[in-house]
Amino acid sequence: MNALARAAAAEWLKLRSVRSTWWFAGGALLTMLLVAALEAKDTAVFLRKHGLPVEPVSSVVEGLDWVQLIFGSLGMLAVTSEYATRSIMVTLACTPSRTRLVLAKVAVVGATTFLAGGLVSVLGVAASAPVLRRYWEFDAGQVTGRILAIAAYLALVAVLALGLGTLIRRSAGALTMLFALLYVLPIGLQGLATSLNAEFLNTLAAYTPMPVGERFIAGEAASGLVLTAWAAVVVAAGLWVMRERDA
Amino acid sequence: MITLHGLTKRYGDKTAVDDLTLELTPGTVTGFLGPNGAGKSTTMRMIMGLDSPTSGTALIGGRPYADLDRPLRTIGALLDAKAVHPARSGRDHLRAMTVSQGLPSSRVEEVLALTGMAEGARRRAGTYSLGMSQRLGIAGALLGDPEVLMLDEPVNGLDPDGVRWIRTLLRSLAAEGRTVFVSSHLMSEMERTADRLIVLGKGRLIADEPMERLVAGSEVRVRGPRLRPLADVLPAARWTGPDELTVSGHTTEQIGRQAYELGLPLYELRAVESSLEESYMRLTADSTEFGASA
Ligand SMILES: Nc1ncnc2c1ncn2[C@@H]1O[C@H](COP(=O)(O)OP(=O)(O)OP(=O)(O)O)[C@@H](O)[C@H]1O
Ligand SMILES: [Mg+2]
Repeated sequence: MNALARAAAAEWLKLRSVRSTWWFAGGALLTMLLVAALEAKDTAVFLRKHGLPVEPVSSVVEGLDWVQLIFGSLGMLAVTSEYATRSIMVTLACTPSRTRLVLAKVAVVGATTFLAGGLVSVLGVAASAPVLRRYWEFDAGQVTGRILAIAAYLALVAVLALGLGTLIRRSAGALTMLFALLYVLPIGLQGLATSLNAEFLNTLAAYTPMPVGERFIAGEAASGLVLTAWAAVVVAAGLWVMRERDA
Repeated sequence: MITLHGLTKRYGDKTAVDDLTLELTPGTVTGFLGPNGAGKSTTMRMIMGLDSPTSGTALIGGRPYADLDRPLRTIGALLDAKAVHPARSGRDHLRAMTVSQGLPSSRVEEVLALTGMAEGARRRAGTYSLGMSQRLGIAGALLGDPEVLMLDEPVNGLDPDGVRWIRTLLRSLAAEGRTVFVSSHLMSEMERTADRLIVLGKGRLIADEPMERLVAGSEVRVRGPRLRPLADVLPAARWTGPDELTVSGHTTEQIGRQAYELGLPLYELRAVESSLEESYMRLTADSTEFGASA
């Protein structure tokens, strides 16, 4: 095994050997099932009223607003929990290359959250099906694509949060930043756009992670690239800090 | 082997480690002493590549830590026993380390047996006593069967049995030709474990001596009824009792002859071993930062 694979294997072992990981996974699943089932009717009615297509994932997309923070926390904790417990010292003693360590964490968190995200959305579709079935147009190929996009979206949010964790090191700070980036930034920019009468701020708002993610899930591949760029830039910034600052 | 060259670390205008140049050799237990805040842990963190030096270098077998491919196979270190994720079991903690170094998983059970943690390692590390954490940390340091061992206050929190176990362990590791670097505040324990001592004070190297030199009988105790004339001719003499002088830097022969020439009766004349603690106190008298004002 090469050095990166060894580091990733260690990260995977660490991730699954703490109970909180499983609590997060369970929490994300439960939240999605509840939201998907409970919002199914309202979502379908709302979409119909606006002449929009009702898809099998429509209710799951509503659940993402909630679930993404859980995925984000999971990604962030892969780094911040090590700083909080100082076990980062042991991790860096084993894998002194900061680049390799961050890549290993990104790979493990990315792959895990992608699979978990896929599973959560499939089960979410199932949970909303009893109600949504009466409204949706089912197209197996389209549903598969949507679910893969949702899984990728959740994985990218988790990796973005991992990057914020590397950048800020403290859970509270990183979580605040994630919340700001996802929810506050687009709304803030839109607000500014209105009050300053500056249309370009609206355009800017449309390129923040959440709106980009919405378009990506709706089938716009290019938006996926923008979201990937967001995650990559934040991770790169975190890596830079990790290399420059003392552990 | 560990080589430090001009190693310096400054935090703002505070110099934690000041121009440290040293070579730690295989087959030796080197003790690392110094008052609180002297810079021992900082030195070790720089050796591990956790903190980057302001200037100077720290090399392990000629290479910086970051260049080691499977570092734990070269150097095993315990810097902070409590630096373990509290929710993870000791065994899983070691397993992750093992995987990262491409070591066989059987190593985990071996080092757990060696440190007496085979039972305890099942539990979450957050439930460990300080001594158990130290044992787990030492298990981690031994995992890669490394040439170099570096331990920061490993006996802190260990029971007498554990203290003795560490002493024998470190001695035998050095006897196998490994480089052992260990810091401690327990002088009597250091005296029994180390071959060589490095003393740091306010970041600076204040002594680097073989143990014999620091505990050797460099002092002579003289007792007699009329020692004043002797004290007058020996500037190195100090009164340690109403009729007792302690003289450093002279042999019993020199002092016996001196007393004979002055015509002084003596009741006692003997070389005394100063303990490491006494030598240490003398060496660091000027560099204790956090001493209680008596
Ligand atoms: N991250 C930091 N920021 C600022 N100062 C620091 C930092 N780390 C260490 N120091 C300072 O550097 C000095 C050396 O600390 P260090 O922990 O190396 O001492 P030590 O010899 O290990 O002490 P002790 O015996 O108490 O463990 C201290 O004055 C400490 O306050
Ligand atoms: Mg220390």
